[in-house]
Amino acid sequence: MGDSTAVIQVAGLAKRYRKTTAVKDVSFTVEKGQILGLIGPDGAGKTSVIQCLSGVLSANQGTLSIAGIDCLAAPEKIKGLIGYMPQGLGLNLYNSLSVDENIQFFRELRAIPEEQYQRNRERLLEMTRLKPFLDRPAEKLSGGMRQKLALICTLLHLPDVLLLDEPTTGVDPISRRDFWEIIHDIVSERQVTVLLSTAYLDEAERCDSIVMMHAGEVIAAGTPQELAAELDDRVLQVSATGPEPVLASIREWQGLQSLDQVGERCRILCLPPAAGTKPSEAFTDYMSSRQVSAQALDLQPARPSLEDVFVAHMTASREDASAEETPRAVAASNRHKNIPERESAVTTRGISCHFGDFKAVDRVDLAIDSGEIFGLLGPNGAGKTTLIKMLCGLQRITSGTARVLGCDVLTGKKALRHRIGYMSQKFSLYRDLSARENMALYGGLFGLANRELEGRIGELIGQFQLDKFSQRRVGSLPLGMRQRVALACALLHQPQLLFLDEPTSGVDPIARRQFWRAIHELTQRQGVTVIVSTHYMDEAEHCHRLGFMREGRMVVADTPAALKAEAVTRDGGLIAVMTEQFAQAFRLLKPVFSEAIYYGRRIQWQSRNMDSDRREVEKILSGHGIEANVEELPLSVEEAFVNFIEHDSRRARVNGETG
Amino acid sequence: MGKPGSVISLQRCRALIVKETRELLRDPIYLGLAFFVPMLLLQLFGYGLSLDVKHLPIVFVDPDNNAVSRDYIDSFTHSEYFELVSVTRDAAEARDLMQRGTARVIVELPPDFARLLTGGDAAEVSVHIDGSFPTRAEVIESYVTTINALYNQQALRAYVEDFGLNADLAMPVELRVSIWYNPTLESINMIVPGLLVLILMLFPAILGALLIVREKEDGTIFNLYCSPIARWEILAGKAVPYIMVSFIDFLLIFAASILQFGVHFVGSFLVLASAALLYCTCTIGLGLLFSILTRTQLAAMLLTFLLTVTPAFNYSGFTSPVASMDELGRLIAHAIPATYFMDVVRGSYLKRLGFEYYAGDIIALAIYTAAVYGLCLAMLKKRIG
Repeated sequence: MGDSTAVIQVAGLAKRYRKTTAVKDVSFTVEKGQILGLIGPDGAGKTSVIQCLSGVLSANQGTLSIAGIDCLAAPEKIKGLIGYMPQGLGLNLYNSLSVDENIQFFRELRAIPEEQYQRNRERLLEMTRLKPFLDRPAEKLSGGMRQKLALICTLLHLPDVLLLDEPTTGVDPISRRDFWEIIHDIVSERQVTVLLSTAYLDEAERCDSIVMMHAGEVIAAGTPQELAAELDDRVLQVSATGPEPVLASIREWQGLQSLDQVGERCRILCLPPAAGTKPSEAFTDYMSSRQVSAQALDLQPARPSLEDVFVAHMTASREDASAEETPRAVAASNRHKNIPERESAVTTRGISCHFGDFKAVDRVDLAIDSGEIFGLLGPNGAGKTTLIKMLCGLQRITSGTARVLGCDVLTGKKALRHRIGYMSQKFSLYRDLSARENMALYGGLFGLANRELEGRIGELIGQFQLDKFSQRRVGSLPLGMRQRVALACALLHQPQLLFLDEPTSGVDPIARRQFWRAIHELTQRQGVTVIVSTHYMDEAEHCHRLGFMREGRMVVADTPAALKAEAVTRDGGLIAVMTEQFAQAFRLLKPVFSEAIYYGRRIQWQSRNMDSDRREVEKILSGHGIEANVEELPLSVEEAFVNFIEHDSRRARVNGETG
Repeated sequence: MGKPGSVISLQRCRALIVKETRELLRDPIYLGLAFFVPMLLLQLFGYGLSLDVKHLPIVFVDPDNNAVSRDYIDSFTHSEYFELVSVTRDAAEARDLMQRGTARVIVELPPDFARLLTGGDAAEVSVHIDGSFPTRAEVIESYVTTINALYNQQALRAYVEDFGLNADLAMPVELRVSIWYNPTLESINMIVPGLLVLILMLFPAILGALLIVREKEDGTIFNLYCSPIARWEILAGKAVPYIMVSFIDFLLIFAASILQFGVHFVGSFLVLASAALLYCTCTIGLGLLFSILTRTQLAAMLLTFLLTVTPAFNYSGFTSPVASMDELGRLIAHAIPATYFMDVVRGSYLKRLGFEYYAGDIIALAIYTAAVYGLCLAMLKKRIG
């Protein structure tokens, strides 16, 4: 990397707040026209780094510069160059002002010349599809729209450097795609340099290069490809549907670094192999010594993801491959209940909820089996929360019927409340109480007392390994731990149906894996039914079935695999073009393949004619002397979701439905 | 990127002014805090906070109960100062009334009141006053003393006439008291102008205190921190619309004081209005200062309340004159802007004086204002840590 093109330079940055160290010894550079992703769980120090760069935070040590200007010594000089977007959905917007008035404010604040303003504004409104909403107050926009408006306001003055703090957290996949399209567009057109942070590891693959942080330190850095290459051959996938002893055997394997069960598959991260050996062979040998054949396991190599990279670095640095704690036997709490037969936990027939003319939920039919993990996905305002509230008996039903755990939600409301658990995204815990005190409070609210309450608390503290932390104030616990306390609180009264609202956003991958393990145990051993509402594609992959919602309606509900397959049947497989000259390639391909989008440095779209498209791409690119690698990739849940939602909105337009 | 020339600076300022005005007009809470609550407070305090002591409940113990004693009692009850609760023979009953708070003063006549008077002897009347509210007790005492003196005068005159002497008996020294500025001594003439000072201290300061800290809480403050806007532009953009709002408050309260409360205004409106504008600028600035120093709206409000209204109420001369305070009190009085504005307001309402009489106060206010904004500028940092 030549210093001449490095726009952002950070060297030896350290930042302390009173007692806590937020950032220690962080160094990286970002070249002109590059997108650098700062990734890591909440509390990793991402925000501090970005705030130091934007000149609003002082540093204890190190140097930072933007375009050669020292951010610490001359913060005012960089402010004309940068666009900074703080963390949170549209936090830089003024709620009572309309879309248009917000834009005007930023125009005058930045003293943007008239001509540039008009041109830019039109284009950004076009791309974000916000034009029809110019007069709407910002507070009445959906989360995704707010975030897009926030981006317009940040981009209006054509900054040379963009500093975006978790711009896509809590944003639905469709808005997120618009968002990335704008970013790639301005980067390729104006060579804007972008630094963005994200807690979504899968999203970071869209960046040119990555700095992975944890607890204030850089744990890995490089391009996504470089980072993934470190784990070549070390990630395997097997079927998770086999008998329990098979999984137990895998856990006992010496070569195992980490195991993650996602839906029906298990991802296995192997420890670095000895020279000249392949982990997959070592694994097959081990399993056959346990009388399990590779065929029975359906063993396949898997592409290493950034999450694997994070886990590999984190568990390696702990020098303990078995550090991943195993939730202890849940069997103890089983004795209270007989596991019910696979019966329907939730059945709805055409339930709707109208607010005046607005149909928040519109004729939803749903059947969820007990013991199932069901995911609700949809853009903000799709009706997920309203549907959940209706199922809890907290929201009146305009029409239709809903039975939950065998009770009618209207007549059996009171009885139901004792059988339903709820855990919100914000983990509604009292920060000044200890974990144990929080649990005692929640138990008390559900009528548990004395020995029964103490017994339950003891069980859950054991089950979630909270022993060491049970006396500490919740406010001082790390996020992943807090999330486990919240789950324990939601489970105190032994609910048979559990609602989770974005349960793991911002939590580090290791804590997330432990969390999902606990959830799987609950469903498998105790037959608890779990309904998850989320934007987080990683969480979606953990569900047995997914329901995609749009504008109050359930567009489709099926297993992730079936949904992906259906999307492929409808619009073809995912064609991906990987090349060094991606910007040029994109300009050449976009006119021919209008669906093409950037995904990091790769260009991809769904193609019905895989073979002819592939030949066409190769012809176009080789005609311009561009070397490219064209592949077919499996669809992710996110792509399947986008496919279904867009298909549905196209159909709605054709049928002349409003909205 | 334009050079930060003066024209462009004005544009940035204007952006902020327009934004603040729009936000104010759309937020019912701010709008209420800006206009409705100040007027409500004026009503509550304007009517409720009369310092005049009238219609005091009085009880007489009159075991004698004849024409002479009733005549004495009538001399009290015929004035608007006392309201008769009862006349009783029983001292215990009167004490009971006092204890229950039904009466504030007991006048106890001796059993042989008439006999003593007609016999030319002095009758001893004992008066018991409820002293739980000292100012009121003092007023009661002076009323009782004065009415008793008048009765004595008349009794003396009648006595002298009985002896066939000239009834035109003159007292050796007679006072002719004339009261300036507030001839009827109605406290409303002093309270409503005082309220003008207090209200224009409290509300502009509270509104100002919310201005910056609200953006800190919402996160929008980063728009300002991360843009080339200068610090004085932030201050000006925030202050100007709210100075206007406060000045409108001034006009409303001024109109109400005259039209609704009937307070006399004899001074120069121009002098009062210009001092008010300066004062509003100053109190908005104080609010902004607290807003810069705090992180939450709650803290900003509390700090503002503690440091502006409390001293203004106690030391600005609202209830008691600055001159009669102890040394510390006078020191505090001169350290708060309300004292200077109080001088101008009370003077303008009641006295017909020229600008030169208020020049000192207005200069002091101007210096104070400049200091407040200077401090704001020094404390406002475009960073969070």
